[in-house]
Amino acid sequence: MKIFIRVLLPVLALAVVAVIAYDYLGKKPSKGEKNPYEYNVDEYREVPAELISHEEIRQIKVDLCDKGALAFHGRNLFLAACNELKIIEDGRKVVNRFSVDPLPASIAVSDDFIVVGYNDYIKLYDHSGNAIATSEVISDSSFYTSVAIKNAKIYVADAGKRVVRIFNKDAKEVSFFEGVSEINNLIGFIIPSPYFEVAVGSNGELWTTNPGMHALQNYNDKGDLLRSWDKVSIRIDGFSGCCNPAQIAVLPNGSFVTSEKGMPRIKIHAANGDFISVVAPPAAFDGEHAPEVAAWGQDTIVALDYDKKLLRIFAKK
Amino acid sequence: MNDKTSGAMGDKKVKRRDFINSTMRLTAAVALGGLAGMTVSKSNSGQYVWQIDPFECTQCGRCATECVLTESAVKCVHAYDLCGYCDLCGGYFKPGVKNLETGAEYQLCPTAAIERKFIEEPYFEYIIKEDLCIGCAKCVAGCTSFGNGSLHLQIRHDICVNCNECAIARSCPSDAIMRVQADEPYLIKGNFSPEEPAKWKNKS
Repeated sequence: MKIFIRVLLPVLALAVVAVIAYDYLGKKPSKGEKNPYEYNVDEYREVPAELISHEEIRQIKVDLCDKGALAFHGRNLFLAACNELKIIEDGRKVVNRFSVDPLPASIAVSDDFIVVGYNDYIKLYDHSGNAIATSEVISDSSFYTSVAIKNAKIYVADAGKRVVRIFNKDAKEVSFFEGVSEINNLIGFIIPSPYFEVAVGSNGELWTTNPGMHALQNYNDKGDLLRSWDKVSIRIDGFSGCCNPAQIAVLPNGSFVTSEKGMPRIKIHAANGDFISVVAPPAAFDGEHAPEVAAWGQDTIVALDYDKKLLRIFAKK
Repeated sequence: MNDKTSGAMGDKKVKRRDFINSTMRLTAAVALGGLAGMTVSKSNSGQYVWQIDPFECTQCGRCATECVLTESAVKCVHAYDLCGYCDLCGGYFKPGVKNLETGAEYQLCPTAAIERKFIEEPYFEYIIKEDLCIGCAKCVAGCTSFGNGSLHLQIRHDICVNCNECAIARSCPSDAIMRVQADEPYLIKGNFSPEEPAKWKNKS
């Protein structure tokens, strides 16, 4: 009996404590077992090296305040973020900066003016930073996600109302269109989440995304569909998820730079939609947000990485 | 020396009887305090229940495996007002499917607990069959990554037994499980936002 009390009982007690401790610590998050229900897209994250056409040549740390936008005009990169617009010459040196309203979401630049898009209005500035005109809030449910300029017209993607609005230089809305067309039985822009883009090509053609259909569409100002292509695939040659491509830019030769959310990647597609190459593979990104993209000439792509808060410059190899 | 309690304070002598009395009083006070604490704790457990903050959830899969109940009390719920009613739904289809069809081989859910229903071209509705859902969050991961996050997990209080220490909360790697007031026991996306209620807070 004494042996039991003096030897076996403490051993038994220690064993019980050890089992409890193992059970407790074993379920601690850092020592947890593998998730048997893991959602795994790793095989789609890997991109063969021969498909990658660009290499990252520079990173610039930026303060984004959750939102930011960029555009190129000539040699200058225009970066709008927080409540400031910076003009960066050759992607290296800040040559001018001025205040803008807080949280700019989109930007486009012409020879005559700069237009900055906010959630539900746009504001025009001259190149010295003086405000020229401000639009009215057209609808409480408007949510502007992208702006583009062609001649003196300003095109605004309103993801909230699912329309493209056209404004004049006085920031007055002159018309809008909904992406309805008998061609392809289009019932309008399908915008499941706030990713809706407009861009103007080198020949002045207006392109929009139709992210719910994984499509890029070319319209005239009346809203007539002129051209369209779509690529539905999680594989490298297409677009997946609810709302991709999430960001676009048009290269001088008419091909497209596309940026995707979910599994972020930046690619180049030909004007007819054929996949050409990868600018930045998913491995280059940490989060799930689609980087904003802008094209600097034919060979340099600049991406605004919201997760890393970096301006990232990719040059053709 | 008869006085067993003399020490550094040698001039203050405490009798055995007084010592026992004061010890008994202290024990009674501790017991009463404990009882009061247990009562308060008991009443709190009636007012608070466990719930998942969907914005903190990282879809680790433990809600399916760690709940003390055989059928996990965690189920997927669908915030229809956030859903895009997408044809290519990241929460319904396995990544990389070539055909958007409803065969089991195309479905992401391991128990086929999501029903896909055609509404009108090109919109589809996705309905959770709760009796089949095991709370594994695979669909939530797909929807959060490639959709707009309308699918999310919640602890169902018609199933949960409201354990004093929730086994899922203990193993949750993101501390996404918290106590919420029992009269508002659900944190449904769309009705609740960590920062502001706007549907589309920011573009990025």
